[in-house]
Amino acid sequence: MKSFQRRPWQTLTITLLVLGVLVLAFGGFLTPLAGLALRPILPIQEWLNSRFLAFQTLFAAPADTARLQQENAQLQQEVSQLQAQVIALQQQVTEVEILSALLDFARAQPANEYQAAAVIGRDPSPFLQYILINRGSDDGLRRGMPVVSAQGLVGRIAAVTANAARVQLISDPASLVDVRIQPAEADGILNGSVTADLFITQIPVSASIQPGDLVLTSGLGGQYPANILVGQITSVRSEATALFQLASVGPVSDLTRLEIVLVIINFRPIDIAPLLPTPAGGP
Amino acid sequence: MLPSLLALVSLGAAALLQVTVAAQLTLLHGPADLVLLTLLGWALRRRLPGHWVWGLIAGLLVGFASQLPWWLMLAAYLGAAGLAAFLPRRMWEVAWLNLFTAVLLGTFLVHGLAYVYLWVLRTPIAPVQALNLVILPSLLLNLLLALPVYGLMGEFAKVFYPQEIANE
Repeated sequence: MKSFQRRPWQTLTITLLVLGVLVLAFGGFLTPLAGLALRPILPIQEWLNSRFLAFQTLFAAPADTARLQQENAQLQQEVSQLQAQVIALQQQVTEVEILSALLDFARAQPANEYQAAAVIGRDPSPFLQYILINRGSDDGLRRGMPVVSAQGLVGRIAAVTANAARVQLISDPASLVDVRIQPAEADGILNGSVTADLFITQIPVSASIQPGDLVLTSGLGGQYPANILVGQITSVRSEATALFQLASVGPVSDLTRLEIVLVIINFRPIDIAPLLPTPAGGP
Repeated sequence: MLPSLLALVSLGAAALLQVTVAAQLTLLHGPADLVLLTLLGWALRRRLPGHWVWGLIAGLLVGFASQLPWWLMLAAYLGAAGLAAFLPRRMWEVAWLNLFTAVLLGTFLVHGLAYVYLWVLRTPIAPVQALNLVILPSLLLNLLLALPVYGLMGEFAKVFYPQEIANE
C-alpha cells in the first residue's frame, strides 16, 4: 500500500500492461508468439513423457498382464457362449423356416391330414435309400403312408415300430411311383437308382416331353395320392426303334438333406395285388 | 458278461454314428462302415475275449437299423468276426497287415452279401456301378479310418483288459 502511495504511476502502468497482455492473449493475438516460444519445448516434453510412460509400463506390466489375461479368458468364455447361442438360434431359424414351409404345404392341400416327423438317420446300407423318422405306430403311422416335404413327394413308409418308422425314398432302386408328366399329360413310372438319380420309364413315344416339364403323382396303382409334385424333367432320351421314351428327373425335394417331413396319415394305399393276373391264369 | 456289455456300448455308439453321420458322409456313394471297423478293432486282438459275441451284436444292431434282412447282416458281421479271429492265427504276424487284410475282406463280405441279396431277391444293380460307386469308395474310407479306430479300440480295451493288451 505504501509502495502504491509512493509510486502510483508506475503501479498503474504495470497493471495496465498486464491487463493489455491478458486481453491480447484472450483475444488470440498472442497465439503465434506462444507457438513460437513453445516449439523448442514440445519435443523435450514429448520425449520426457514417453520415457515416463515406458518406465510406468515396465513396472506396472506384470499386474496388467495378469489382469488382461483374466479379462481375455472372460471375454473368450463370453464369445464361446455367444457363438453357441448364435448356432442354437440359427438352428431354430432353420427349423422355423422348414416348419413354416411345411405349414404352407399343408394349407395348400387341406384334404390331407399330416403328421410331422423329424429325420433321425439313414439306412446304413449304401445300396438302399431309406431314412428313419421319429414317429411310429403310436402316432398313427402305418405302412404304405406317403411322406412329403414342403416341396413335394419324398417316399412312403416301409416299416413301422411304436416310436419310429423307416421311409423308402423315391430315389431307392426298388421304388416305383406312377407319375404324370405335365403339360404333356403322359403317364410313366418313376424309378430310383443306387446313385439316387431318378428317371421315368414307360413313357409313350407319342408323348411330347420337354426338359422343364413337371412330374406329379398320377394316383394310378393306389400307392400314392394324385397330384403331388415330384420333380422336373431334366433330359429326355428317345430312340426311333424304341417303344418307350426315357426321361431323367430332378427331384423338387433335396432327398439328401431332409430334416423334417410330413406323413399323410389319412391316405391308405390300395393293395391291387389280388386283381393282377397271375402267370398260371388263376382267378 | 463284460465282453457283451462292452460290445453293446461300443458297437451301439458306432451304429448310432453310422446311421446319423457316417451314412451321410460318403465318398461317391460309399460310406465308411464304423460298425465293421469297431468290430475288427476288438476281434483282431487275439487275447481279448468275446469275438463271436461282438460279431453277433454288430450283426443284430445293423440288421435292426437297416431295411436289409437282419439274418443277412448277422451272417455278414459274424463272417467278419470269424475273419478277424482267423487272420492273426493263420495269416500274418504283423498287426497292421492283419488289420488291412481284415478290412479289405470284411468290406467285400458285408457289401458283397448285401449286393447278392439285392440282385437275387429285390432289384438288380449293375455290378460295375456297385463296385465303382459304392464298394470301392467305401473300402477306401474304411482303410483310411482303420488305423485310428483300431488304436481307439486298443485304448478302450486297455481300460478293461490291461494284461491282455500288454501281452499282445
